[in-house]
Amino acid sequence: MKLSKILKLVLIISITITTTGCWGARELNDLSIATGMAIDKKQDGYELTVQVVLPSKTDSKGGGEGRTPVVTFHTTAKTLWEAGRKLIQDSSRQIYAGHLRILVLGEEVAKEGIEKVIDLFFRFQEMRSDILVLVAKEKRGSDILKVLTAMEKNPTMHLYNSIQRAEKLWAPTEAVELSDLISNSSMSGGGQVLTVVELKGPLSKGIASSNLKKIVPPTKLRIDGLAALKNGRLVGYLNENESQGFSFITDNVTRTIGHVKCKNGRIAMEIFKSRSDVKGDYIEGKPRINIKVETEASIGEVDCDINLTDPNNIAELENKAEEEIKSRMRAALHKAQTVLTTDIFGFGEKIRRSNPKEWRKLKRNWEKQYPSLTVDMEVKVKIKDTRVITNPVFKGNQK
Amino acid sequence: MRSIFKKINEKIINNHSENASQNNVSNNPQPLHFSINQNIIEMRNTLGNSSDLSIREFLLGKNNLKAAVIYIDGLVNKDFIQNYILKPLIIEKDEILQDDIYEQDLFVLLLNRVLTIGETREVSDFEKLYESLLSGETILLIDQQVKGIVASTKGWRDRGVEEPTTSNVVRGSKEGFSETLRTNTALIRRRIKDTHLRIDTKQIGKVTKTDVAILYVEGIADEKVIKEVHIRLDSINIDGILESGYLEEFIQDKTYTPFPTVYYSERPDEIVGGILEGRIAIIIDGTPFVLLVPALFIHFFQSAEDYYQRFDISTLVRILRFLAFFMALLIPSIYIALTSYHQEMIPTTLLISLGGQREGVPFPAIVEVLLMEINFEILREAGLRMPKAVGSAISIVGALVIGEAAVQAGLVSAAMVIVVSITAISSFIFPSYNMSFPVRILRFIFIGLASILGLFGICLGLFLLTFHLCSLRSFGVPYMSPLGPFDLEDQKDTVFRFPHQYLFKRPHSTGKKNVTRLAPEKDKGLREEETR
Repeated sequence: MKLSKILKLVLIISITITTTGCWGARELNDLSIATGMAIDKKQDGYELTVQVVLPSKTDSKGGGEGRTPVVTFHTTAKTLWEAGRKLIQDSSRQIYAGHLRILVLGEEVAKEGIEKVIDLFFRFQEMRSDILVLVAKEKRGSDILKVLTAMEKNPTMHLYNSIQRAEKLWAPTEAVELSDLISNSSMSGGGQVLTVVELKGPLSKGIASSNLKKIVPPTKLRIDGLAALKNGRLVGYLNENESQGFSFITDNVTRTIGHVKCKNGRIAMEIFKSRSDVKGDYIEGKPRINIKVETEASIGEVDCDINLTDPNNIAELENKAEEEIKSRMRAALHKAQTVLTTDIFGFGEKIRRSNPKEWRKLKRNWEKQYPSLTVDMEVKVKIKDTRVITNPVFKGNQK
Repeated sequence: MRSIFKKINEKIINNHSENASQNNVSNNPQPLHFSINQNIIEMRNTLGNSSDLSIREFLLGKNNLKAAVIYIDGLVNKDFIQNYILKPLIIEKDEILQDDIYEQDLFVLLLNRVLTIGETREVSDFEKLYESLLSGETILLIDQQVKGIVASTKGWRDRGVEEPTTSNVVRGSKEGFSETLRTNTALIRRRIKDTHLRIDTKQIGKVTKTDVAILYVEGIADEKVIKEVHIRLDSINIDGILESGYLEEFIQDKTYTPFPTVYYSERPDEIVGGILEGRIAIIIDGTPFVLLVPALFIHFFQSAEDYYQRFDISTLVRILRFLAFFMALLIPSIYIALTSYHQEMIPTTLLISLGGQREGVPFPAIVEVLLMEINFEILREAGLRMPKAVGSAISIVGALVIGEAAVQAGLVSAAMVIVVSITAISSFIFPSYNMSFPVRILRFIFIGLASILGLFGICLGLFLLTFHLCSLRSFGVPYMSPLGPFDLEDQKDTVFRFPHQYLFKRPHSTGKKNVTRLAPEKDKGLREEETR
């Protein structure tokens, strides 16, 4: 009796320990860590390109001098899920997507509509929601992942880091994460933007290791402007000014630099604080949008003769800066409203929130209404300081 | 699991009691014989003619009464016997011991006028006689007397009061307890000069008859706990107590727990600190380790020095200790869980670097961790017990086994060496050495859980650990108090150590009576005067 009890206990313990199959356990050296992924069209299927890190090459002991620390696999299949699994044919290890940082969509794919390819990324539990989604301007997505970059050994980390930093310091860039796509797609209006990556220089030189051996790399990757989507389809690109205007409207400016003209030169200012407030409204039965932007700036560079101790001059500069910002916002609005006719700013959502009942009526012909939507803007710039010195040191030839 | 142990135990206990009842000897003490010769023969027989038994026979008084001084060589101070017993009895006897003295008065006379030794008493039966004799006292037997005189002449080789070896301090008393009970009680008495300090003594162990002293301050310590200590000590029925560890196991509330519920220390100041908090000290003869009950979880994270140093650094160090507790417990298991289940939780760059280190390592992470942890435990155990002469050899080999060589041999990854080292160092931070035992044991359980269930397993383990800790009690006081049953007032001296002038009260969990430790108003007044 007693023995059988002990026996039972031992059995239970040994069974629980030996038969739980460590489900999902994977050793680090059985994984290939994917950091970048690109999707392109291929006849009636997709080409999936995955960039994985070679841990032994990135090891601090520096085993892989002169060799690329990443390797790229690509397969073609009718669906992405199949393509992903087929990668095992090339790679000796299972692709691990938990650390995916960048998803590059080829221009063709983006034009056809991102919703067709994006489902997998929401459905698959391994994926993060903070993957940055990019569009390769006029290129295939796979081309972007082939270029060797100088600052980072890993091209996807290069892209990831430069987008993250540029978003904070340079208004035209906006980092669009996978989760933004979800929240935007559920909003009324139907517009969307994506970050754009551009290949500068010939691809053939970018993929050769000589690209790293030159002081001026012939081929570079550059984050530039934004891509505008309408109902999930790529319809056009915003240039630098328009992108900056977009950022001001959508309250996405952390810090940026711009300039205003003065007498015989220019004054550069850094905006270090910006808050915008977009309100939808109905006035006399018509939808209206009201944008209020409040920014704080500092003077960073002066190359004309101006007395900055005079408050009137500062006020004048503030007015000029306000005009400058307004002009950029107008450029963005013009491009989006009349050229591309896509509600990338989410105005539809603002109107819906202010008056859901009216929006239900408006919704049907929103596309027609949108280009003629009245947008009021109000910009306020406050110059807080002039940095280390006040007036320019050299008064120049004027006096 | 426990029920099995219990059943086995019960069976053994039953067998024992049967045996005990069979050879139950009558407890009547045997009185001394009238004749001294008979007494001496009896003693020689009982003690088996042991070589350390000294019997000095002589003649007493003008009647030439036969007398004997009996003691155990090595346990007594021979100068005492020489100068204060034998000398007065043999040389100076004649002036006092006249013929006309009645025999009944002989003892009174001897005690009052002859024996110049401090502590004496009479003994009339053999049981008491042996007890005194074997604890180092000297027996004076006189012919035609059915009683003897016991003179306290204890004096043996003693290590003396030395610096404690197990818990060192930078600032604070350098005195440590020694193996002699009396020295130890004196060390405490010297620190508490209060009439309320109580020292209750009893003997435990049928064969060893070890002296055990219970110390507390009446009026501060909880009577219920004092009573409980007495009851638990009295219920011990063992042949011998060699170290406080014996008692610890007998008196603790729960046997099947890795956590210590009895505190021990080699430092008198620490024990006195405990007594002032209303706790009860138990000193066992023959060991410098003094027990302190009730012992709560937090006590093992507090050191005497916390109160000698400034409060800010003490608080910081205490927080560090709690951090180290979790690090020593969880780092290897978290490493396993993260690297084999939850790779997405590691920052990308770190993951790549870890992955690079693991290239070419033949074992899964769990084997790697177990290999290193077991290696380290072996090294630690070997280091404790080996002869000092081979110490350096072991440390050289140890550095090879847990170090760069293991990495270069491709057996383990470099990160693993760091994990094991951090764990090892963290487990040494506790001021009480015995808190590192549960951590060492539970670490392996957590490693197992993490390797089967990942982080989920670790959380499960932490849940169960919390339940277990909250279920523990030490002499009726909840083990996790003042964290478990939360007590705001006591938080001043738990993780934090507030400045002394804010610690008005004794901890509620142990010092329920006479809670005020410091009179705040008076203190304030003094301060104001000083600043003026």
